Amino acid sequence: MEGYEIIGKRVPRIDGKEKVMGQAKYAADYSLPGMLWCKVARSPFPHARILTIDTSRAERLKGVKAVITGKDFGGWTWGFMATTRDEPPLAVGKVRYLYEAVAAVAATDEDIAEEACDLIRVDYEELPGVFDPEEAMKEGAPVIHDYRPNNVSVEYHWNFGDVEKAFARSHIVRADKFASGKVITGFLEPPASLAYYDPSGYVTVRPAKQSPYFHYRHLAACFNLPLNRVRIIQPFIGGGFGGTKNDSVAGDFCVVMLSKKTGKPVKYIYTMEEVLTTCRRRHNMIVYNKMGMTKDGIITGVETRVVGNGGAYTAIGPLTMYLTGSGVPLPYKLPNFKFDAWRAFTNNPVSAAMRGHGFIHTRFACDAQMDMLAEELGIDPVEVRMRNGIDNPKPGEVYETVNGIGIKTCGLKEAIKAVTEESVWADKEKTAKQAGPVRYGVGISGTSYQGGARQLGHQSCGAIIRVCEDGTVNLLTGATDCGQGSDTVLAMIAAEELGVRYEDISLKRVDTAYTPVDPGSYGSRVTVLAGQATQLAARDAKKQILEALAKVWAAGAEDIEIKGGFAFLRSNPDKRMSFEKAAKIACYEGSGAVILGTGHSSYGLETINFNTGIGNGGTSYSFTAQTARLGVDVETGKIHVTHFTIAHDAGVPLHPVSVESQNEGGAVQGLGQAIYEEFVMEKGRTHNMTLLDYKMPRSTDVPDIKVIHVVTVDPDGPFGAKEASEGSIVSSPSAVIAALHDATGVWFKELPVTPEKVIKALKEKGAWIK
Amino acid sequence: MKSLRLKVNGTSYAIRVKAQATLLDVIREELGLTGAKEGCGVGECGACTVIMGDKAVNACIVLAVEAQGKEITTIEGLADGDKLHPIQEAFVEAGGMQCGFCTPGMILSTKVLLEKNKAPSDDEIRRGLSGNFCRCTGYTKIFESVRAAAQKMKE
Amino acid sequence: MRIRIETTVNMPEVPEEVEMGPGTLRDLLVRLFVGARLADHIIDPATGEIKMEGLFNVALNDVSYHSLREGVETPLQDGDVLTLSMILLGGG
Repeated sequence: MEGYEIIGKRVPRIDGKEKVMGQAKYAADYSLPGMLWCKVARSPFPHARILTIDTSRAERLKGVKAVITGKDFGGWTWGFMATTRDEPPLAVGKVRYLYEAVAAVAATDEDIAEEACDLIRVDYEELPGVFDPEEAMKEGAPVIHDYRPNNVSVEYHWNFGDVEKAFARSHIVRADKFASGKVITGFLEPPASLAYYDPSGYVTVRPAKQSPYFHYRHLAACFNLPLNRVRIIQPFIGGGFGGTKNDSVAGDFCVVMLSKKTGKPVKYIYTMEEVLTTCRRRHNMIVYNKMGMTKDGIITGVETRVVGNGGAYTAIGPLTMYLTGSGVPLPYKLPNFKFDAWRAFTNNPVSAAMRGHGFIHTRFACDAQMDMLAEELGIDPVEVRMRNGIDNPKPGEVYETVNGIGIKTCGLKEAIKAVTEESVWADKEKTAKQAGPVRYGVGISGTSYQGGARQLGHQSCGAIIRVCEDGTVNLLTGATDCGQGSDTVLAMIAAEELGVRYEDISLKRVDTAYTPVDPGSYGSRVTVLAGQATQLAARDAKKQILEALAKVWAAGAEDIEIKGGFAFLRSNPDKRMSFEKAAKIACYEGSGAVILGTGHSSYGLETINFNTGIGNGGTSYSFTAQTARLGVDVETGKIHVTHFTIAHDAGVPLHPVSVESQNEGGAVQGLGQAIYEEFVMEKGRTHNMTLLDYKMPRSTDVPDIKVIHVVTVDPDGPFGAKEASEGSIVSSPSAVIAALHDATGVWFKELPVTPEKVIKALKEKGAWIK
Repeated sequence: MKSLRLKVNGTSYAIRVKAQATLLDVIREELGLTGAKEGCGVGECGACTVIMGDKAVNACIVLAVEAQGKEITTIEGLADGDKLHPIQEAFVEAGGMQCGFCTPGMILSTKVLLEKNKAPSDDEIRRGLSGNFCRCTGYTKIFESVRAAAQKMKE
Repeated sequence: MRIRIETTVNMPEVPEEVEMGPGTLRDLLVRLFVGARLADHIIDPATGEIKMEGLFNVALNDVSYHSLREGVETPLQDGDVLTLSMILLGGG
């Protein structure tokens, strides 16, 4: 990256030191004097009417200061959209999933609070439950929400072009049923919050949230408080990955209510068991996919029917189903596309967003089917991708998909080329195909993900740059670093734009009393949108400094440049002064200015029509190609992935270390989904509710990973950037599935591919032992 | 309640604890050292790793009373004031963390690994850290950090 | 007269078309939402006033109702199209 002082450099993370010293404080690390502990009492049934709740015995237990139930919230409900606010903080009238929160206790210590929960007597009338989304939509299924008597939470029917004609003129057409698995974000830090409701009508909360401003609005609405009296002070976040920490959970509302009732600060920390059994998880979906291809391997059309398991409440479901369809025309040209999707309510914990939101289900189906069709035609997987892949548009040109997504840069083909030149793919014929009972295989995938997500009102985000009198800089942002490294990137952007050194920037984390609004971390929007806001705020502050200097140097402000911490005249660089001195002059001369730069993201508003599918929810899209090499033990069915090569087009990698780390982590999370992770559920009950049994990849399970940067310089991102956080979680399962096919000859269509499924498939297929 | 003498990061503490209190509870709540984290609470994730004697242990499943008379090292005991331990430096330079929640535990496990084995192979590094779960990084830059730390500690 | 209703999000409770006698935009909204699940969000239960802010962007024949000269009192004509665009506000 020529010409930049900081952008593109491998600077250390801005918060690295606090983290390695154990000084970074997370929600659970905070305490206040007189603090009480909150524990939540939960339903033992997945579907039941609540008849009576008797909290008297709990209230009498020594150390218990308050007990609350659903009625304390006065019928208030929340949701992602105003039309689907169907979720109460504590169950009211009935419970709709096992362990749904029914009551909460505040006590002087955690053990007493837990004991008190056991003393709360709830009389339930158990109701028949329904646990499978297709069953839930059948006539006669138990109704979960009265306002959706057919249990259909969301339904879309989109139609672009003419798929029937497309299939009629195709050389071959395939129809397959695919299924994604029941997986969860897997963050290591359970949700927690410390809340204090000041009797004067002012709430201060320290919650583990990657979208603190959503929680701020939830609390304002729930407690009928004006927004300016709800203060969220953000701690460090121990992992987000979407879903739970972009939303509020029962504990969050309970601690505020309990604090209101007791006049004391109240804290809750969920256990990992509560996380695994009740927190938001990815929707698992059934994808009935149909794809046609010409004799030359060109995709003619895709018809996809998707059924999503929504769980007990709506939450962000409407967006999930929208994204699931929206991503299908990427990254391969698709002229005809029909999408029919249903999200069904079931008596399971709520399904919501998770990294790779939506796109991942249909991409898994389409990438696999594209390879199946190509194989039939004798076209190799790289060739079929090159023939169908979207080409990188020329500067000024835009490629538009049938559903209205505009692509200005597309590094797909460059990424595919890059991974095929690396040894995992290039030397695959030379490396061993078999070693004892282990058969090796190599696979490739090429995928895309949305970045800079913005939908009406939802993307308002701002930044403030405050130049201190000694030339050091405070960056106030509403954006949240949940570990992905956005704080580092925003500081880099601010420093580059202002012309100061990276070390001169101090980023101030979210405090809704002082920082400007920002929707938070999701849809890979922070670098693109909060980054733009930061860039504009820095430019605004810089302008003020330049104007002050211009007076002192009797020059035009446009004649002055600031770089590397020094201001100098463009026409005579020897005339220079340190930024520190320039800042002092700007602050002290004349009437004494306060240098405050402000900026907000200005990417246009676009209406997305969820009903027709037309619209563009992202500012730009990333493209990822990945190869995977793995070995399958045909005797035990165990899969061991040895290598991943990932080439990711993030426009411009502003902080290459973070882009690599995000790709590495996303690929491993995708690997988990592909072969390891699965909630084993029976009638709404989760059987594997510990980290040992919900198996996520450990250090001994991960492959060697190499990440290659593909640079396309997108016109819509600060310094040309696009998203770098979700591409590889979409590319990874597809690459693994393709590698499994190479090793075993089997196309696995149901995730995760467990050893049992491998053995069963090999038996049915009749594998070559020699 | 039981009386307990704990030696943590070189300092002695005389405290009273519930008989069933875990070492993690005591470190975090009584001593205010919040670097060790509670992830799973049942000894499966390593977020609560501390060094007891010469072993890396999951403090959430060690009873506080078991720690009597042992030297405990938490993450707060590694740096010398402002000066980072070479392992901490290596993690910062290589970018071996993202959200940082697993980091204290990961670093302490690394310390025990490198003190027992100055030049671990890639396989030995993977096995040495298998008790520390990380969801963010995919472990790749953690391995790089450990290799860099081994190099630094040799010098 | 026939009024067409378009929405940008899935709202099974809102019909695609409404037959009504002479009336204003307010009359149409009251007819669509009074007594409905979303009634309190659209019509202030205390004053009976249309209370749209924060829920939908309302447009009549592609013109935002804020910009209509007569606002919600605008008389409707046969073939008019009412568009309800959801304002998506996370946490809202």
